[in-house]
Amino acid sequence: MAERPEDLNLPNAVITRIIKEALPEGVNVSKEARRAISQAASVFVLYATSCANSFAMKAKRKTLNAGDVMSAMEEMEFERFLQPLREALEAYKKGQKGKKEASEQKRKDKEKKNGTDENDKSRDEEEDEHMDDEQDGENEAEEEDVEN
Amino acid sequence: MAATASAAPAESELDRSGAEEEPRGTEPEEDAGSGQTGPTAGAQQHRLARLPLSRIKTLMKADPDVTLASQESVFIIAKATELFVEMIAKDALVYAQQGKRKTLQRKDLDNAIEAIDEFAFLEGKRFNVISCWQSSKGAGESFMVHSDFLYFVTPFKASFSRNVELKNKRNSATVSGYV
Repeated sequence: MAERPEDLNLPNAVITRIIKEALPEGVNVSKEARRAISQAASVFVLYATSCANSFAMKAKRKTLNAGDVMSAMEEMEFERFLQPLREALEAYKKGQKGKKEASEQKRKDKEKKNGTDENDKSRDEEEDEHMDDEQDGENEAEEEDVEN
Repeated sequence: MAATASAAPAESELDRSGAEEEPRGTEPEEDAGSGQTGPTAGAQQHRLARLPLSRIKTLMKADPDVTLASQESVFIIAKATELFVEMIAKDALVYAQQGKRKTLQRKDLDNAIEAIDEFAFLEGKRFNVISCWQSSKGAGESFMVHSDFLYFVTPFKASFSRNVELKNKRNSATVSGYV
């Protein structure tokens, strides 16, 4: 739950950047208009969420998924968003897949590295033991000579 | 032994990044670019969603009916919000140009909202309190705008049945106030 009121606002810098990129050069936006767009965007998020949630509830699901949001966009009459959203979702999925594979690879590399370290360690230990055995043998021989 | 111990944190990282959904109240680090392996991956994520996903998720969870939301749904809403901002700005610009102005003003937004069907949910008088859609039980919920902040007077609850009336009569738009 959002405890702080500022959590329900979208960052002004990002909103301003999106507006500026959408409009041609030389067009200015008043502070009041910028704030209104930012707040309208917050209302849009709430509207889309509620609409998507009603689709999830109809399907007797507790989790909002991508399909619910797509259906919500259609219901809200923002059909023109559907194609760019599908494309963005594909790109996002690819990115997530790549991320997952990369972290998996990282983990494997770590395991491999730890495995080789373990082998080196055990090899060193074996060599040390071998050296100790040899030294013990030599010491015993010396002791026998002394006794004789 | 050491191998398994060091592999455990990496595994938990994977679980966290791959988790499809989070229960209400947990706040994952979902900002674009977190946990990236290389600079290109980070840049790609930033290009995909310019709005912070964590903030979008916080807004989504302000609806008490929402218990779980997949990462994909949060991303799509973030992307849709970007498209919405672009759309409303471009539509408002038309009205600024009609008035032979190069500065987008609040009245241009109001004109665009009044004229375009898709913006019906923002329509109405400029009150401080926005009465949101009636819930299925018929209890009107509302949230308030105070200076720069948007905060809730009562929990946000809505069911959006866009009836024929809304399409035919602009006056019957369910929101009676626009921020």
